[in-house]
Amino acid sequence: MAQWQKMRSHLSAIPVLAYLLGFGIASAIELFIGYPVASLLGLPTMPTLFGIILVQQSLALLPSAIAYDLLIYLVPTYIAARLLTPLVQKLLQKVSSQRLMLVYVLALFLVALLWGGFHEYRTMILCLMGINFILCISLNLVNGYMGEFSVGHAGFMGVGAYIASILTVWVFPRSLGHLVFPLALLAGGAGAAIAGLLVAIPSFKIRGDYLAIITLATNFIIKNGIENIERIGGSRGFMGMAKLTNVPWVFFWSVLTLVLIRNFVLSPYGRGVIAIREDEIAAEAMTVNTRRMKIIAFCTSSFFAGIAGGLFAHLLLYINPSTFTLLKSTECLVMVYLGGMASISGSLVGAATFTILLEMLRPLEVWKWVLIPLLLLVMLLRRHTGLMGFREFQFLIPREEAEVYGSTSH
Amino acid sequence: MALLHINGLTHYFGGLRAVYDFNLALEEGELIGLIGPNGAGKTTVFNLITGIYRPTKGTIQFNGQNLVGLQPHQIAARGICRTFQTIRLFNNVSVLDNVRIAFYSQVRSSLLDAFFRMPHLVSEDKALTREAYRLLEIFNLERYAHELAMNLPYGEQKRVEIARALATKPRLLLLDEPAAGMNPGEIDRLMDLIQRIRQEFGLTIFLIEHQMRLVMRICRHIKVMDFGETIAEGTPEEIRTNPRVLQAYLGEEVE
Repeated sequence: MAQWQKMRSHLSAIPVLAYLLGFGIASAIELFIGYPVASLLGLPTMPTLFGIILVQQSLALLPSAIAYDLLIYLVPTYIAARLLTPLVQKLLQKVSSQRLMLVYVLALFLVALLWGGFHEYRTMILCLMGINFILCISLNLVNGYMGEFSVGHAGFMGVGAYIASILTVWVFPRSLGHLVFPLALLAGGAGAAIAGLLVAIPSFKIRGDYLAIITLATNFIIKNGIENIERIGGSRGFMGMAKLTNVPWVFFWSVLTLVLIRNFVLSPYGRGVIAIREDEIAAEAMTVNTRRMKIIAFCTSSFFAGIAGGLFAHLLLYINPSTFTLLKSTECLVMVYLGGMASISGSLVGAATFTILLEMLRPLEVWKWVLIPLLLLVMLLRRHTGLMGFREFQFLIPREEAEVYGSTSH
Repeated sequence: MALLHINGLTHYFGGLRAVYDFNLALEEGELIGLIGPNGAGKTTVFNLITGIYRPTKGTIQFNGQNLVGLQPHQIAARGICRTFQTIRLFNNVSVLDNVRIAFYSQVRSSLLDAFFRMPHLVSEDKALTREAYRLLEIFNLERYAHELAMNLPYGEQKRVEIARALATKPRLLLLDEPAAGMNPGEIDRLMDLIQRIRQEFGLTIFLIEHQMRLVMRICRHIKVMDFGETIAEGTPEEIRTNPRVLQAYLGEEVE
């Protein structure tokens, strides 16, 4: 027990950034010796997702997969992290807290490229992770920060997906590709934001269960609406998009979403949104324009859902209305409540955990939808605010707010 | 010209007459009390002034401007702030942020500045944060600044509510039963506090209270309501001996 404690304190003394860079180095090593090590251990191919997929094919490969993870990831990451610790600590002291986030972002991007940039499957996972993060943090704005219960997030995602796809396939010249991709995404986001107004307006008068029903209805209206427009494929779906979504794009939009939503929730306006969650009448009495803040929050939330939709459409290259049903909305909810309410860090953790969980449980097929809600249930019973609810990683918080955030976490 | 001028204020909930023909001319700097048995319509008067309900009939003028039909946040931004009968703090938020939320209408930076965290928003927010700490110091609450509001003892929560209300920079403060649930010692300290903030912030105060001790001691002028109607008004001495007031409170038959 004491040794366990000692090991824990030893491991937590190493800064997160050092681990991150260490993992990057491990990934770089894997690029060179991944295949030989895998065949030496008797694995049929190189493990793409830490051996999870291989183990799903044959449980007998479990020991080899674990050995691979130890040899390629854990041990090199630990050694590199330890060696880098003095350097990283020096860097952390020098860099101002405003720039610190940039350092983390760059490091994360480098690691993502090294680990996943050269494998198609890993690229896919990384892109899905980013898209899920955008969905999660944008839903968290409404469900976590504002305390409303929106259950129709996938509807807005669908609006963004269709608008962006229609633009890149029919409107913009195909040769422009990546140049106009941001425009298509922004247009999708804007369309979704307008749909968000649909929800904002009833939210002036109603709250709680009734508003949940309205967001549910909105989800159905959007899905069935698209289904009935034959011009865009109806229920057969829409295709013909070029594969424009890649790791750099997803990374760019994820960081943009993170920064904008973080800035907003830390601003006086964001505090107004939080006040709505806590007590709407008191918020009004304290001069908060609750109507305005609700419109802003709902539209911002659906705007980013629309962006995520556009990215999603240009990753899978095929969308149809039944992609954006209640099931997808539920996935968003699971991420929010798993990661943590009213937390940006929680959205990061929630999206990453959920994306990997979904891959792990893929062989279970429909049964995974028994297991995931069950996990959520256990989670909510044990720790009802989620993994990171109402708490933030220090590097996400600007210096002037650090003091406030340091101690309000519980 | 009175600061707050209410004329013929009447409000019905369906068929129930909650407030009937309520009149008031509150001068700047005055401190007046509103008393009456439970269900007399006192809180409804506050809810009508602050815009939570729209009156069935009557006019409310503040500083010469009509308030009827305005949103509650607009009325609050014009300088009328209130506390609530049952504490309504933002519970899962730090005490500091409870106060900072109330600066909402004073924020000059735009929403776009907020999304991009522009330098002038940051400096404005810093100034507001300092102001919030200053308010908390006045109320002896600075050591709770980073504590969640719900974790504070009852009396402290009541003080946070007043501090938060003052953050909106009110000219008129409406206090709805500030002494409810307090022991005599706490009530004494509350009375001192009310007198002090009244002078320090140049406030006009209108308060609802059940604790006769408090009302009689600090209010020069008292109004008494029963079943939605104003049954008496005057100095504490006049109220104490008014037979209709005694009837309303004690249920005595008066011929």
